[in-house]
Amino acid sequence: MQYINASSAREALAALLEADGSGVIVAGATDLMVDYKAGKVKSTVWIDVTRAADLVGITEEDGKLVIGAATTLTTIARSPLVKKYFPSLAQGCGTVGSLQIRNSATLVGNVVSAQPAGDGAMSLAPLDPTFTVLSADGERQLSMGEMYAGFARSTIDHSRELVTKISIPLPKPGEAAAFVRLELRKSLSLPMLNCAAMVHVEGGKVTWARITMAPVGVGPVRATAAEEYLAGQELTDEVLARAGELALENANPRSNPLRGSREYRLETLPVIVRRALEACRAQLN
Amino acid sequence: MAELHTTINGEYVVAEVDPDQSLAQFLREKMYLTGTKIGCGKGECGACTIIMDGKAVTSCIIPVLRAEGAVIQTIEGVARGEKLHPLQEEFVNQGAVQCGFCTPGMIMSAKALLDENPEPEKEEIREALGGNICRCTGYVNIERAVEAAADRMRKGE
Amino acid sequence: MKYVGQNIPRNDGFDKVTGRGQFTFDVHLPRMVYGKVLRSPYAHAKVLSIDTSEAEAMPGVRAVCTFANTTQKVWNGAAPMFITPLPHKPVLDQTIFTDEPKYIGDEVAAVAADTEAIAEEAAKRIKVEWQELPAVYEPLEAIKPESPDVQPKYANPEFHNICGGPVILEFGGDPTAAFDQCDAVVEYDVTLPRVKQAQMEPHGAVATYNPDGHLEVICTTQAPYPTKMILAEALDIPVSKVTVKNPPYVGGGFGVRIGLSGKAEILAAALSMKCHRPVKLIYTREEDFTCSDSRHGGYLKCKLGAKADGTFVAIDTQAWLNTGAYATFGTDLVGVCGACGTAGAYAIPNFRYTGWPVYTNQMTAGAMRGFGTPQGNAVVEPAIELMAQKLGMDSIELRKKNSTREDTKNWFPFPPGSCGTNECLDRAAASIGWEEKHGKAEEQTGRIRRGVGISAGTHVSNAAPFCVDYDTILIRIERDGTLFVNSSIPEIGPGSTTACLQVAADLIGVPYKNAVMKFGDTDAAPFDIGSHATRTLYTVSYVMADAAKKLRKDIFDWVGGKLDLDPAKLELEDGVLSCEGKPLGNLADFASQAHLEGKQFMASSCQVPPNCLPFYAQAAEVEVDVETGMVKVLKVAAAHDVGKAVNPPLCRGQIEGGVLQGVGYAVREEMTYVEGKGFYNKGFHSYMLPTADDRPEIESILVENPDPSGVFGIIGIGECGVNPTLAAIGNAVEDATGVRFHEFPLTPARVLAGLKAAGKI
Repeated sequence: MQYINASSAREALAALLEADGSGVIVAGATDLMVDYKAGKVKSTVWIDVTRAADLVGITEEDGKLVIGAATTLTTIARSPLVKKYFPSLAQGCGTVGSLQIRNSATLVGNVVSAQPAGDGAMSLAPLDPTFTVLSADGERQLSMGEMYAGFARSTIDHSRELVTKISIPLPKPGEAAAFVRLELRKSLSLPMLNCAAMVHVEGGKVTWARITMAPVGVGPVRATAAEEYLAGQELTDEVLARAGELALENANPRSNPLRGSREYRLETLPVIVRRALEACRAQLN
Repeated sequence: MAELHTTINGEYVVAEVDPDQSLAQFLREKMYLTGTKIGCGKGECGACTIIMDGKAVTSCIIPVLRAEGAVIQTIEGVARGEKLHPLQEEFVNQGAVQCGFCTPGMIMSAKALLDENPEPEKEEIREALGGNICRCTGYVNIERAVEAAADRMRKGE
Repeated sequence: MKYVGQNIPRNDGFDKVTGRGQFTFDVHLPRMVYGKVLRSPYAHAKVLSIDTSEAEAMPGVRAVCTFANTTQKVWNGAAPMFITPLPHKPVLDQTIFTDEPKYIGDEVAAVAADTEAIAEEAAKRIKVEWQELPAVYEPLEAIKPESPDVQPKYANPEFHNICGGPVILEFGGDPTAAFDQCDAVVEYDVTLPRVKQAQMEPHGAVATYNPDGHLEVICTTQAPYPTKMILAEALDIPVSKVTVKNPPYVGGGFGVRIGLSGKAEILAAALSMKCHRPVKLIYTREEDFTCSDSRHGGYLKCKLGAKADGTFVAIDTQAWLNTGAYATFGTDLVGVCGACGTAGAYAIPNFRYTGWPVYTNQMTAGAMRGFGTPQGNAVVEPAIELMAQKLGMDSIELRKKNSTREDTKNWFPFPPGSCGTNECLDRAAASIGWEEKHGKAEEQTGRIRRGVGISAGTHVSNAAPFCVDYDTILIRIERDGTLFVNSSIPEIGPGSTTACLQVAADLIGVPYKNAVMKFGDTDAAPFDIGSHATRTLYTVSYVMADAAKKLRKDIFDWVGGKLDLDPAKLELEDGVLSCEGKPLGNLADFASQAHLEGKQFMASSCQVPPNCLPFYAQAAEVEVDVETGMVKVLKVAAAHDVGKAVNPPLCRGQIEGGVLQGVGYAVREEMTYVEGKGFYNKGFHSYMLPTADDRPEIESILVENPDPSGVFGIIGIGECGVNPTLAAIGNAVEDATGVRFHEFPLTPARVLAGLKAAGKI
């Protein structure tokens, strides 16, 4: 293996292009090293971007919160800016793996590894983030939904392009977001279920809601039936409970020997969705 | 093979390394710093925790060349000669050590915490140790040891 | 007592907090090569052909071993092989490698090579042609006559797939008839999971076979002598030519290494005998989880009968425990489940227990902290709770009414000792707030329900007289007055070597700081059974007391002779000799003088220890989220009659660690078998043992009723914390929800389904 410490996004891209298909962008490497040891990684040129100054950091720019792609989960979880605007994102990022893992791993990594229920990615999902991707053709922007190609498959070709940053529109009055995780253990465990929700309320009624849930399909799955139902409703207990039930219409969970059967996940998903909405409501009151 | 330049426990080191290796393997096999344990090789137990550039990381899943230019502390660098660090002393005094296999990683996680946050809340201690599995103690005395060490360090030790 | 009872920092603390302490994994020897194992991908198969030529041809490969080029002698990898008392016979059913693997992970071949990577690649290049055979996984399936035979050669010919046993314990009376005389009879049954020790250091060994015929194995065993004996027997080497030692530290045990560590020692030794180099074999975490003994899971049912006033009259328990593919401790453990798990804690005149160790095509089950007692406790204590409900009594009062007392007739071949159960019950109950919190299920309607539960029990303080269990010890005074103790006990974590020296310092009369111990090495001292059965401190103290008496006599005779004083009037305290209160000088000076005259003070002893029952009670408080089924354990109050806490922090550490293992057992930990793939739980990420940020408050309460048999009143403590925890939590969950569960662990899915089935949600 050849290992390159890149000092900028451009340098990383140049190295990637030179490797011509055999390169991979490395941030936290927390998944990559495990896969590599298991013989599952074919890439022979590893391009480390953790010291690329233009890829690290959290700033507020033009009404957006901008998170550099190589920013670690710990930095995000502890960032005063993130805590101020998106406490649910800080919470989700602060839940992945363990502190040691979060000290290395990145939020972008949590998205592009495309695991079905990455807590960082899931807490980000309803916040309407935009991903900036740099390739030989220049920069392009992708939405959350456009990042996932399938189970554990990202639309990002890590041997040809790299994500440089995530931009999230700053919250406006009447908006609230929450993240809820159903877990067997706080650290060192994937969730049985997680759900993130963001709602906008005006004059006591929901104008829009975005609800994402996992692992009930590929990547963060939108609970569109519940979202549509919520629009125009007041956030009463009955409405939240009904929205929770409607979340089932978009969910297709699998059984896992440890983290719950399909049946159990279907039984508890409405509860988790309802609790996420309750948490949003609590913030708005 | 590649060349690695790094600082380990205050000593500048230049070494030939196999880029395929993890930092933990390098520390143990090349530097003979066997205080860093490997309990799982997947970042799931914390026994290999070291401090790299001020942060606790599981060295078993850190590519060795990530350490290029880094400042690394391992358990061997915590004591000053024969003088133990307050964390080390309190781990012994409070009964936080049993089999000892998790102890180095546990102390490194605790040290990274106290280096950054001299007055941690209970929840912060638990978060810092949440990635370090111990099967012997029930964690009760470990938490107590970190609190006792933090106390002493605040008093200037 | 100057040192017993003191908070003395453990003597291996410096080594362990500085990273200097050496574990097997850290051992590096010249010319050392690395071993890797080829394991069966099938739960039951026949190897039709095996071709190792490609592996052997790889550069860097130094040895390839298979069933074809190693001995097929049968043995048992755990201690019963050499500690089963006559006329009983241990079940011998293992070989180093097999051509008929009986579980996913069974050893078929192994490779030693210059690097781990080469060894791993070479193991992959061994070509095997398999014929898959029928397999069975669950004990209740395996006992059906039509199920496949797991061990046709070694199973009990009278009972299908039964390993050794059945173990039938009849301790007086006739339960069947007695139940008719009872005013109330209750029944409870429970299915328990297999759980793993998950000790932090994976199994490992560095074996060096010298062509002169001597084998030295540095390894993670918690029983060096039994391991030495097993290796010698299985490898056909004279026992005098085998050395087994710890390096000296062992990263936890919890039973999984009483005898071989998985099979690391014998696999490394077989490879070393082929290539005549040191072979290091360290199990991966996955191998550790899926190819070494677990706790026995299975199914148990219990029938308990009492008089209207609560007096227990009869108990009849049956257990079918999954012992997996090989025996190891199967038969012994099923016996302890009945003896310590269902008898002992209470006086019940009509007693019967029937235990069935059942062979299946799964990884072997063997010893794990508690050794059958947690399983027995998990079926009896809920039955007692049900009895209390039926009789309308407080369950603590019911337990106290029936608990074993000093004068109770009990079936153990030794007196029960100091019986602190009732005090433990009271103190655990007070700590958890039993009076205010108990019995509130009906009043609760919210999402979160709270409840409290309790469980009491006993165990043993060593394995005698049920096993060949004895200790030997050599002690001497060095020229500088230091006490030097040679014992082959290991230090697997409890601090045994510290506590034993505290006892020794007081018994002999030397300063603790001048006492050292050489341990964990079969060349350093004669036989010791190892660290197991809650025994180390209790039994080593016993043999130490005898040796101390002899050593003091040796000193006093010599000093008395020198100074013309009556040896009977001499005293030694904290390193200072005196005669009727008048100081005579330091032991160091006398030892130094003695040396110049050709004399060293020394003594030895070999003793079969007595035994006594450790009694305890633990109370738990839980919170149940009735919408998700999530059980959160808030607190465990653990009261243990320890007789005398030699080193209180170390003693509490034993309780707290055991309690948390019990919490995992009750609510999260489970080895889940997926047919065709084996156990799903291959590492910490998929095995939900508790982490530092996910644990209850644990209050350890030391009750100190000195035991008449224990030196300074000591009672064993090592295993006890785990034993009653599951039952206490199960009782607490019923107290919170009104639902009695019959399957553990109480995962959210199980709890939610149970609440639904009971119509509670």
